[in-house]
Amino acid sequence: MTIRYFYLLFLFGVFGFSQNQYTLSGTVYETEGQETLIGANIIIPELKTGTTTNEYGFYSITLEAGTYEVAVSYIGFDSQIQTIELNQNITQNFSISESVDRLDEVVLETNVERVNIKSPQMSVNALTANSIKQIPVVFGEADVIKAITLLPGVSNGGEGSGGFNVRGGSTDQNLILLDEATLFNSSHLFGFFSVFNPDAIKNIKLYKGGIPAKYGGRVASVLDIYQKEGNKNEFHGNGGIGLVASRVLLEGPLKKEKGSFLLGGRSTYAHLFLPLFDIENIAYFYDLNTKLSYRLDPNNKIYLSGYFGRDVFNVSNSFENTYGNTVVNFRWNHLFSDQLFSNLSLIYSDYYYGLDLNFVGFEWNSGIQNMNIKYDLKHYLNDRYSLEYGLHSTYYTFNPGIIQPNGPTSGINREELTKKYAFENAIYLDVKQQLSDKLSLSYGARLSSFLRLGQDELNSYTNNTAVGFNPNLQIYESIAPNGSIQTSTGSVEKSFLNIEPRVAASYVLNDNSAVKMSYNRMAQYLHLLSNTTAPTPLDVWAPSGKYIQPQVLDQVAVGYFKNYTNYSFEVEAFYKKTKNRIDYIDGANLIANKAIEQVLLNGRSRAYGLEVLLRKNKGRFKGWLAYTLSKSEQQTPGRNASEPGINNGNWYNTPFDKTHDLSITSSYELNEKWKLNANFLFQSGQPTTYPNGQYVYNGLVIPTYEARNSSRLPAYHRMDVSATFNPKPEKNKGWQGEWVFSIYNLYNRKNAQSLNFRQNVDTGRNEALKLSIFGVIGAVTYNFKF
Amino acid sequence: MKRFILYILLGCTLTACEDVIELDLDTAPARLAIDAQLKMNPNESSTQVIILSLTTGFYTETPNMVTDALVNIIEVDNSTTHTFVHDTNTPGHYTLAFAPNFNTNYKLQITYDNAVYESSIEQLVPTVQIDNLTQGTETLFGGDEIEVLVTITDEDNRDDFYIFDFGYNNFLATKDEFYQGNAFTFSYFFDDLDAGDTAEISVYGADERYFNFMTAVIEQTEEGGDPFKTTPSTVRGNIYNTTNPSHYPMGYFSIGETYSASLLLE
Repeated sequence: MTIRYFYLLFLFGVFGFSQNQYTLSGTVYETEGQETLIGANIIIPELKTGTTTNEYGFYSITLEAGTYEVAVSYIGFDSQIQTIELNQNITQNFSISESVDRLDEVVLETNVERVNIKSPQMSVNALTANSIKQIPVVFGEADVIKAITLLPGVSNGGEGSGGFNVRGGSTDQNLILLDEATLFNSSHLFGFFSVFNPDAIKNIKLYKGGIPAKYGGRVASVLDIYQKEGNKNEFHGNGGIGLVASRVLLEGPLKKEKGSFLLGGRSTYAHLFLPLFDIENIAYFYDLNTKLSYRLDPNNKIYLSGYFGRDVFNVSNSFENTYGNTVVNFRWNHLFSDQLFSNLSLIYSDYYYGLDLNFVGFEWNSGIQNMNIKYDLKHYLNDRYSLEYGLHSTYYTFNPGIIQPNGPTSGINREELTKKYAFENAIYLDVKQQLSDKLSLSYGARLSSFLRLGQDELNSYTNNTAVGFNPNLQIYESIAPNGSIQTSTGSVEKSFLNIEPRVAASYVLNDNSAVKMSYNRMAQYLHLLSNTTAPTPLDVWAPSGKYIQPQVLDQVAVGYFKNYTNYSFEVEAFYKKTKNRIDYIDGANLIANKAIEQVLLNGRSRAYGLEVLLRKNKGRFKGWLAYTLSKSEQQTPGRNASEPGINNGNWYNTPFDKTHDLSITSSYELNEKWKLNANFLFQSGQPTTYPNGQYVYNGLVIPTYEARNSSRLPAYHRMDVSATFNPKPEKNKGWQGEWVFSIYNLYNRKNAQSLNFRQNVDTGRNEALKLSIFGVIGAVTYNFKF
Repeated sequence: MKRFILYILLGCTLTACEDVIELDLDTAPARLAIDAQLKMNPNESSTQVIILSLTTGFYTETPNMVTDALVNIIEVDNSTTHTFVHDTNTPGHYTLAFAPNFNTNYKLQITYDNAVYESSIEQLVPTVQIDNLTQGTETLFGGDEIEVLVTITDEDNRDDFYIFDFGYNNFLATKDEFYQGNAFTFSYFFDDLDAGDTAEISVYGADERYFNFMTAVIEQTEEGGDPFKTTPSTVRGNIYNTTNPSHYPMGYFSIGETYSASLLLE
């Protein structure tokens, strides 16, 4: 779409206004705790139009003067219909109650109503906290990341690997937002748990494609998570006691119906987690979620939220390791008018990694900090037309590592790797327009810029080349710098500017089906330096600059969506390519590397696939079947004709290329007391590299290897079941408890997390060794609320 | 360092299990493998050994030694040639009494199967003595490892790379980046030795390229499961095939000063 056409549409829309229009606006709450509802539908059946509430529960719709029936609905809640006489601008808040039969949850919020069929947004999945809690997981701990890997297009590196992969993208390409603040690490204990406390979460939304211009900075996906605000009417608590972890959450009013607080904590039991070893070894994590909300007046609300999480390992006092995220976030919602909603966020976010190695007398810490201002506005012009625009600005400080002696007898010299600084800015505009009853559009762009600022020491190289190629030995080697420059942290050393267009369209075929398509370009200026098959907490983030180019992605997707009475069906195809995907020379060491540019090569990646999602949304039996057929590849060609690049310059499978990915999630309500859940997963094995020979050198038996990632681990599959028992389902006041019994990996499939090769010490023979992490694991969790 | 840390973490977090499995593997065409680590120990005799073999299938149990190659070390600046002699008692071993000198350029040249293999030019790399070995009391997982504290004094004004050999094919490659010019002590945990045994430890001087090579092969031969493995690839050394470059050899040619020390464990 050309820029000119873009403006024409825009103007056409603006002049389409009629004079006799009034605005209906307000907030939708759930009755019990006055918690705002995200994505509730406000529908005007007579006009076949409607809107949904935003992330703060606000809605606004501008209509011709008249008397209308307004239907408010939300999954799992009783719908409400109210007659509104719209002869002036009206502010109308709605409070709706949770359905008594609670036939809800395991359903996604999109496509529930026709109004969503019309929305041009595609490639998005939303889950409520309740549905996440019902999915059986290892040790019985409800888990956001494990839940989203059951969705089409989402996978992860198997048990014991952090993060998740969306549509063949790497884990560092996911933008993870917790109450608008960016998190840099989503896993505890190497991916066994995710950092989100399910009790504190209201709603999650995963964008895999057609990503709105509001989001930027990562190329593969956006995981947008909102925490609950807390009950504004009365004090309540809930929590759970599990096999390896417990959690508690308290919430209540600060001032009735105006302000509320929420305080949640979660921790594993340090010693129980390590039953095989003596108690000198400690491994545990904890996290804290807090939130204060206050409604100053009908037009102003403020929120203060915080997250603090840490993982701690201590092995025989010879080794100590601590890492985690800290996030503090202040937000101010302001209504300029009943058609113009704004949110200002001031965010501080920090990721810390610390290590103390007693046996070499060594202390190490690294991290990334950022300060972030976001100003987002949403302008509801009329029922067919809305605008979102805003400004984001982030200042980053990167600490690639500080090494220091851990005591007076240590032989280690203190050394601080040069800190790096950067400034990322973006402005965006997104237009949502309903062109006709059938055709809806969303179009816009994000203009992003990245300024790499000066630093104490920046290496310079002959011809700006930090990696050399040795033609005799056919290997890449680091080149020593020819000098270094010192620049002020106020100066701009390198700048990048990207225009990121975003376009989406929906064409409604009939009341229950639609086709949608989207295109988005995204730029990513931060890179996680990682050359292991799964990311680790030690991995360090590096900014784009003189030697690292920003990643730029283009993605197109098309989809078909159909709703039946009790079912819905979605199919989507996508193609995406990313340039400037960094790769590493063989044997590169990325930790405490003072000159990371000496081990980097520039490559590209591409992925394409087909996703199918079939859901049963209503009735006693509910669930979904998700299937993805996809390919994800990477290529790092030589920089000129005489160089081979990585893997001889050929395309090779990324470690997260899963040809087939099938998941089935189901729940069955046996009676009021018992609810049963089961899920089944099947994934093609992860690409890996096998030996194709051996030789002896210096006593070591050294393998030679085939082309990179040309083999696969055995296929991954498993089944999990759980049963939830509520002894007193009729009780909905005071102390209420439920038991969750779960079995993970029911048929004890020994899935290969990796295959390793070694020489058997006793026989001297080489052998292949399969590492599998979890066999069958039973767990009992007691959940309570009061 | 990183790998070591991860290995420890995994050891303590996983309720993992490892099974030996049957897995068919392809076998690549055989390449020449050259084990040419020349050592210069001022206190020992200087008979050097270069071992030649062909790569074999990964599960093959008998090595395929090369007995009919011509093995020379050439002093590049004056073209003096030192010819190694095949030892028929230990097939594949080529030996020569040869004491390398500092600041002299050497290259390895091997003629085998109508191809000429040559190494990059190398010099004798100096290293430092092991100052002290003492037995410690710590263990890693509360197991029965024996801790030995190793102390060296790093040479200031030069970048040093050390390859420690603890016997039983256990090696550690380290560089002085973070202890330049200092006395430096670290712990090594023996799990193959008991009280009454003698721990033999040696240190070998390496340049950066050889350090990188050893770091890579040590990683690839470490035992045990490691989900955080870097994607492995064939490690190229510093020897190339001048006749047919794509049929490159494996292995490495290095010359380093070495010192050793031992400690009777209690």
